[in-house]
Amino acid sequence: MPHSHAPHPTWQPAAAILAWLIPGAGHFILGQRARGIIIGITIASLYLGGLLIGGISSVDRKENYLWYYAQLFTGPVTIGIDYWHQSLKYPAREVLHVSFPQVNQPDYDKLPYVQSVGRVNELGTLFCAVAGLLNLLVIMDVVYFRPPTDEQAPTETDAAVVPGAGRVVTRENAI
Amino acid sequence: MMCLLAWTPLLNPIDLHEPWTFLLLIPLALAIGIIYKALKLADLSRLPRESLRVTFYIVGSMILAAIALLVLTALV
Repeated sequence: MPHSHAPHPTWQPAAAILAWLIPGAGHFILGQRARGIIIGITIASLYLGGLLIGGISSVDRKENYLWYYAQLFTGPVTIGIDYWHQSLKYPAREVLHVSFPQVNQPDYDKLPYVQSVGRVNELGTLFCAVAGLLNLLVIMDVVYFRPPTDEQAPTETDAAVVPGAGRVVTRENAI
Repeated sequence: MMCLLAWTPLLNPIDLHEPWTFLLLIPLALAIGIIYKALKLADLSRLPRESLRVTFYIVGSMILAAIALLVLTALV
């Protein structure tokens, strides 16, 4: 029976919540500081890039709600940006009767921002959504955390699943 | 120049048109490569090279898929 020298994974719900609040912070508090900073900078850059490409209309929970759910994994910043966007888009929402949607439609010519359309809007939305989905990967890595090691020996299950007898499959050369 | 002067970040989208939008695949693929390899690698000194390798694979695969679709639509 092979003996694995890999550290055991540990359940880290607090780090996962922190990773959602601030991308990369989950790894940072678990001692993987350089990894956390790299993750944080990359996800923030991708998200900011999406906002610069498509403007704040790239985050819209009413018109692109499925994309919005993916963007939500980036953290509460998405909720804030959507709130800002909706408050600019429907400035008189409180005084208009919400049961008449035709009255509550925004007047796109009078908006204080430019609504992005077409390919630019798609790209902005995509960048923000991919940032969210990448942060979901990061959260999944943190929640059941096992520090990556180069000397990770294959377990019995790995040896049964991975083809290639004698090949040591580590976490990083798995793909 | 006038477009840049009138551009307000976050409130206005960038003025980008069709041929140039495809270039945005590169930063997108690079970000995917960096995050993927940052989670996989034990030694982060190899991160730049490995991230570029993943980026190259993603962009190359997309180009090959585009060529295959172009050939397919030309033939059919």
